[in-house]
Amino acid sequence: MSKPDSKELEALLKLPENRYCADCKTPGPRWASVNLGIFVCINCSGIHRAMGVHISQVRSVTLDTWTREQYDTAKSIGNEKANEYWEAKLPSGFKRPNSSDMFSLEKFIRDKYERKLYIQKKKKNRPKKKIHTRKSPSKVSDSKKSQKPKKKIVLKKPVSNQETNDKIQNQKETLVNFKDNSQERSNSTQPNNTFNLMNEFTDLSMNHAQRRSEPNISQLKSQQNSMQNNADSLILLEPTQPTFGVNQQNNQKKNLILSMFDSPNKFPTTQPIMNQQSANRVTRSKKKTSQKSKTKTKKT
Amino acid sequence: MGKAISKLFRKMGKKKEMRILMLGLDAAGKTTILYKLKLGQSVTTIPTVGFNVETVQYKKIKFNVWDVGGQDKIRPLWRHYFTGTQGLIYVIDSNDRARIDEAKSELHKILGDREMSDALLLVFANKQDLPNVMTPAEITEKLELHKLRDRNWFVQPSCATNGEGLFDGLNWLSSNIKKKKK
Repeated sequence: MSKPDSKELEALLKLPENRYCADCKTPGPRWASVNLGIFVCINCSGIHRAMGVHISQVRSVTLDTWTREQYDTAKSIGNEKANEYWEAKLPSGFKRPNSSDMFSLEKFIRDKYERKLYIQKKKKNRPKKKIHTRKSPSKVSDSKKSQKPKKKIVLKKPVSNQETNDKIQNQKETLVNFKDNSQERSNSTQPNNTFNLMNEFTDLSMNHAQRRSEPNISQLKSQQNSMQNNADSLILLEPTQPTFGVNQQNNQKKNLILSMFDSPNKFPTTQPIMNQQSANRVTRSKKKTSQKSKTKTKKT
Repeated sequence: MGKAISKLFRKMGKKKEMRILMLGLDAAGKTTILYKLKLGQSVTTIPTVGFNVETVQYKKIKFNVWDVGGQDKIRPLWRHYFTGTQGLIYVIDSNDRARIDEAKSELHKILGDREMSDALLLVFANKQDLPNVMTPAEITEKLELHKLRDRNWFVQPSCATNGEGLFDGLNWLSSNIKKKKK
């Protein structure tokens, strides 16, 4: 299947229902959510991106290459059908926020797609169904999960190519069940519908893109200024909160380091602090790096 | 031991600059990371068409961070920013399993460029707050980082909206740039 060209995409934008942003009604949207099948303005697209790809996958009409599948979704849904579903229960006389009040706009968009406040439950022929037949079934469960209140996250351990060999030796016992685990996991991941975008550049689009943003100095400076202006008008979403997850991790690291200075034999005893699963995952990568470093030393 | 530490502190007293290039697929969180580092605030961003550049002071090191838009058709412009880059921050949306292969091929394309042969590689496994995300180990595997030769790399889990993991990443960059200079 060939990829849709810019003419086909522009034709979709010329349809009367797609002439205004699906969320804030700004004329002339240039961005789209390819899984929701709607066209939005650049401000709303930013909010869509912030929700995560399990809710909305944003692409530019001009700066991205679309798959035929994405085009078909946008063609079969469009702003009108989508809003019939997503805004079915939107109160009459609802004052739609616009980009002058980004805070309200973000709340509205999250209410609409993430919390699904305005959908008519049990409605037939909803455009969402079409989307999910195209996506893997796991997407459905993802979007359900996202409605739960956010939990405080604890970051997993970072991975690097500089792990010490001692650590690996100490953890070798935990490696036993690794391969099975990893196979299970890789099987369970959803089918890969990734496409190789880079091979699909047309000369036309390349020229267009380069004309747009080839970094020559004056352009760079003006862009930079405008970006800084943007930054000035950026909106505060949430106050900075104490980061417990990191502090905890830092404490663990600190203990780990201190224990190393104390006596090297104590090191393995600090390990069980990690949860077993994450420890397993980390150690597997460590094992690989150790093998690599061993082969390197052999060579030298 | 004490001497070593004081020596280290003296070394850190010198002001250093580091040129950092931040790349990754569109919507990975590059701009959000940049402004979280710069302003300490979570901001609402719009897609970057062009680039942003900011200096971030951390541990007496001045990081010049270049954040370049990641849309498909503007990725060929990335190479124009390669010259002089000491550290590459590659940002991954840990929630986006469908595009991790695309992220991998873009990363290996960057690393294959001669101008990037000396750059440190810091991968932010971003958006760790979302449900069902890939772990750092999973991302390491999917990006095939173990296949890299002569490359100092580090995968740091992060959440740009609340800032977790971001300074740990800068910390790794700062301590590894020193190692190279020795």
